Amino acid sequence: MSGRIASRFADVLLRLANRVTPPERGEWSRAMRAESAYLPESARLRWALGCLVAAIKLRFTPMQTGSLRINPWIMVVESLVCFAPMLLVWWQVSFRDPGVLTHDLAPFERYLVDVLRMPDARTVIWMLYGYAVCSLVGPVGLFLGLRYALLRRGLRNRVLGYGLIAAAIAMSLSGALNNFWVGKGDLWERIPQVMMFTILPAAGIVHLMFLGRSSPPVAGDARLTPA
Amino acid sequence: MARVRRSSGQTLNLLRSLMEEPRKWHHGYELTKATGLLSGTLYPMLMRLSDRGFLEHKWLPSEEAGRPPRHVYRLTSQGAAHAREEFVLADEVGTSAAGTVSRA
Repeated sequence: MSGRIASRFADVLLRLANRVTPPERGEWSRAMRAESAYLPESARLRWALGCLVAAIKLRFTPMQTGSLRINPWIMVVESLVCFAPMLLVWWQVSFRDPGVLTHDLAPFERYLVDVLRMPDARTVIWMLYGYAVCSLVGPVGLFLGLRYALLRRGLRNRVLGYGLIAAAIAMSLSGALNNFWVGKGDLWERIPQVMMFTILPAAGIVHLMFLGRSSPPVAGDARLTPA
Repeated sequence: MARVRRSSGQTLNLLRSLMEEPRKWHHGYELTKATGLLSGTLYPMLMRLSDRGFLEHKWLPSEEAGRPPRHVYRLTSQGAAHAREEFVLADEVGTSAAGTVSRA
């Protein structure tokens, strides 16, 4: 690469570094750029690459130190990703056929015994009830996520938080136990289910609990009122 | 017990360079040459030192026409005290490490 092209490329990199640098570090970005005017031609490209690396480091530092207080619109997306699959399970198990809240399960139990020849049909019915309860993580989590997006209120109730995480774990455990009893099921095939029905909802709840723990006082909050 | 964060070897190198002439203003390119650090490593370190109140900086107008002002740096008195403390600790760690190696 000829010196002139390298120098132009260095200018492009320095401009890019300037754009990537967070605004509060703008002085430092200008400092690195100004310093490049004093370098020998041969050192400018290397210097510019270093400036870009420094700018990227500066961008990533706040992310690494864990500013989990996110934009409300991102929380809407996060809530949908984390809780929508579980919401669909809850809807299916509770209201669709055979929904535990809207249907008489006796005919379904007879179908299991008479047609499918399942000796433990009662267990299947109880599992449906269990799924209906555990999958409440979906609607409750989605409600809490949207509440944070609208009101900036995280989940402060630790018991509810741990309960929801336990419910999400129970969903996968019950599925694994079911497979064990039936004697089939490949672990790798279950990973997407574990991701959708345990890891994502649990991560969503943990995030909401974190936001609840560290949410700043809002107007009217009791913490603002002196004791 | 509060966790004390010790300086890395690279930071010690930088502090040594700045302490060679503590009252002199140093510019970035000079520091990269003295320490062997690349700009991508040097500037974040300078920022951290500045954030902790160990480094002062200012813009120095260029003596040559057509060149931009230069950002220059030197340790504050607090920074110089911190540097001396870090050098003592580094020496102690070095001595104890050497002792461990000679005992082994």
